[in-house]
Amino acid sequence: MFSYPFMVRAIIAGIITGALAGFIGVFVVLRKMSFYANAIAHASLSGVALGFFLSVDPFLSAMAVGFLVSLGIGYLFHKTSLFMDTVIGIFLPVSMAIGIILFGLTRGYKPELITYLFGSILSVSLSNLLLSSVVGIVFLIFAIIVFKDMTMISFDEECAKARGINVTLIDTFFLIFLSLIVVIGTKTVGIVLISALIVIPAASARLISRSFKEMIIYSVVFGVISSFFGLTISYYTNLPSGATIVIILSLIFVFSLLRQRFSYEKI
Amino acid sequence: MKIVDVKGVSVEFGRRKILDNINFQLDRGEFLIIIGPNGAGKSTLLKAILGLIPFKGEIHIFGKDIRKLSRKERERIGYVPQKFLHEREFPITVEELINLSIGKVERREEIVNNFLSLLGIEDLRKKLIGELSGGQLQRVFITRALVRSPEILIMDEPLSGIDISGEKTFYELVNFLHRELKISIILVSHDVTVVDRFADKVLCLNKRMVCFGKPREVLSEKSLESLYGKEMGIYKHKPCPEDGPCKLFVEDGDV
Repeated sequence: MFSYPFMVRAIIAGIITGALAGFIGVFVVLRKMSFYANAIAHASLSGVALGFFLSVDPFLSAMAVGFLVSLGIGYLFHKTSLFMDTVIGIFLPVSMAIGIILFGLTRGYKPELITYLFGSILSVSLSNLLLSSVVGIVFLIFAIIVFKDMTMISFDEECAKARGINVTLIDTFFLIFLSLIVVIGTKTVGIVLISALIVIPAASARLISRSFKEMIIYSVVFGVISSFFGLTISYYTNLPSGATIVIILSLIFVFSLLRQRFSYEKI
Repeated sequence: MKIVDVKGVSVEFGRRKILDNINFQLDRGEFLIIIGPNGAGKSTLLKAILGLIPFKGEIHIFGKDIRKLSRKERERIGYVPQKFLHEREFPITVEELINLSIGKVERREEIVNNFLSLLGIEDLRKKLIGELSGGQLQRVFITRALVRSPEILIMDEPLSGIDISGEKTFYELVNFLHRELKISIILVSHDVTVVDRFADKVLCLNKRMVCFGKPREVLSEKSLESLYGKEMGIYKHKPCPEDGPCKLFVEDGDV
């Protein structure tokens, strides 16, 4: 398996994505932003389509569109009386519809839509891998610097503001990184299933954790394990990588659920 | 020196006026209790004092405009919010939560231990906050606010969901913080009966200031009726001791 460069790239990218998604997923889940991550993922489809339509790198255009949509959702939520799930319920299908139309309007080479929707181990290029590594390193530095502030905001935003933490600034960077991680993840897991890689490891970790530190460690480990084994199984069985990763994640979730049920009373 | 100086503060949400022309000052080391009916704007006033919401007028803390306080200056303010029950699902231990607040300081472990011991919760440090009772959780939140050694402690109805014995313990604790640690305190409460026993000053609020001053000077049947819109009676709980304050007992006039 490791004699093929494409597979080495896919595995490394998968491990980086799994670790990043597992880590940021803790904050996404605890801040009740799971559906938000899903919307950014779907919005990145129109970003990919826009990239092909304008003949620019679809990876970069997907990141830009994902970030703009995340800001748009936040803006509409704060400036109107609409609930968050309603705002997301508007952005998600509209951005997908724009993506499908742009794909339809694009002339010349058009990629297989299913590759973007469900991920493919063949699709990770060297430049994708480099970009994933850079995003991973920059996010790690960001997380180390503002870890306490991010945790405080997730736990109690009002107290965080009262302490003088710049919640808007940290939130903006958080959304930028969330968009970047989502788009990176679409290469291996796909647009439809990337939110699972963000939400399920953290949700599983939540069930069995006895502290915040434990939740982060479990979540990152689950993200990495599912990506590695999902890609490996996908290689040997020729199944779509994204779906395979999500099936492994669902098994981890069931395991966590059973462990919580039989090890503790409700934590 | 005035630790809090509120001048002509008004708050509007859209066309709705929540607070109208609030003026008061608090000296260093004083204990202020804010009372008023539901929807009187008590929590809104605290949020304005903390600079969390936009307002008209001026609010100075430590002699400086609250909107211009640096993060370091804000660390001198301790805040215990009203609604903390929704955070119970957050998988964080008492120790982790308190360490989040204290940051990197010398003798961190010792400071945390001292406060946990002071508030009688040292054996809870490894517990998840979701496993605590309402009273224990409240002590954790007060500890969290205290570990940075604030000069002023602002508490928004900290007795929500606490039983009567818990209330008594709470007021004894707050009184200790005020008398022994000399911390200035602003506390929003529904319980009029505790005002005279603990507070140096009382602020009666119902969108506007109904009264402000020393409890025995400003709390009267008339001011309470004006505050709550109901006939209220003030009864002496027991004869006033010669060397201490009178105990006031307030009862709804309809009873």
